[in-house]
Amino acid sequence: MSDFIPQGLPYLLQPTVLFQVLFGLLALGSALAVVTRRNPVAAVAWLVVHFVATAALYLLMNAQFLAMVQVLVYAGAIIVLFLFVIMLLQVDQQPSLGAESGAGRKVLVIAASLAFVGLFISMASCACRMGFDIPSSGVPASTRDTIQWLVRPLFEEHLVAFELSSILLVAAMAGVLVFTTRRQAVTAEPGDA
Amino acid sequence: MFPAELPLLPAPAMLTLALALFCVGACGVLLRRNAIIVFACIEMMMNSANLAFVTMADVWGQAEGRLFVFFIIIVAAAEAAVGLGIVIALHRLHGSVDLDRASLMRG
Repeated sequence: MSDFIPQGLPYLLQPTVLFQVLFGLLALGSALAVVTRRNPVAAVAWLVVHFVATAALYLLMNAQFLAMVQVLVYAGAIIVLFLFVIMLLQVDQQPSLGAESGAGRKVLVIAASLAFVGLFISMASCACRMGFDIPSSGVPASTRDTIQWLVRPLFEEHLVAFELSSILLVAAMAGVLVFTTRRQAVTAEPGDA
Repeated sequence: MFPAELPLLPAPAMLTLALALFCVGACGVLLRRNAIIVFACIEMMMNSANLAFVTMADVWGQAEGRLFVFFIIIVAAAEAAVGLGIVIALHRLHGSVDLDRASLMRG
């Protein structure tokens, strides 16, 4: 594939770097859209864009398995769950950021946003101080894109955690069933019917 | 998928992106009042942590970094189910998903 790429391109115009920048900006923009959309359905639709952009970033970093899992679990199952709950509860229009509120809440919104911008700047400066010459991979790409690299520690060292996660999923499912089932169906007398 | 000689963005750039996504998600959690959107923002924060995990796994050459992303996705799936169940219970109790109205435990 590298034969198709002309030599001597500037760093930012290399295809992988260009796509990383594009999908990074897409992930950031869709995240902002999720926070600012008034309609929950629109926010969840932007969340799909966010998850797919993140999956593309994984793909560019040679994490194909995680990209696939990301699309299947996040952009598939979790998004469907969100849309199902929105349509079950029929919550279409909700107040957006700072809507139907006094000046106090608007000040709160601005202050919290500024606090997070400050946090971002301070921590991003720490990241910049690491130096941008850190290589982005400690292992060759031919090793990283094999599933064996991921699966061998999963089934050798972390097998107990893997099995426990199945118990976690079953417990979550049973718990949701318990506290979303209507209680009156359980306590109804048999003779009343 | 791509040959190793193609350049990628340096690790601090990806970490900065993950940090920015985390800050946006945290802002959403603190500022929005719709429980469903607060939940979506929590998922975004987990997602940004995943991005940082994948980046540092490649920097250190450790497969465990990517493995933990796998576990985080499992936990996120369980957490989404439980959280949306809580949203349904909240809606049944108050008739809305406005978090400002969920003040039953306020002293």
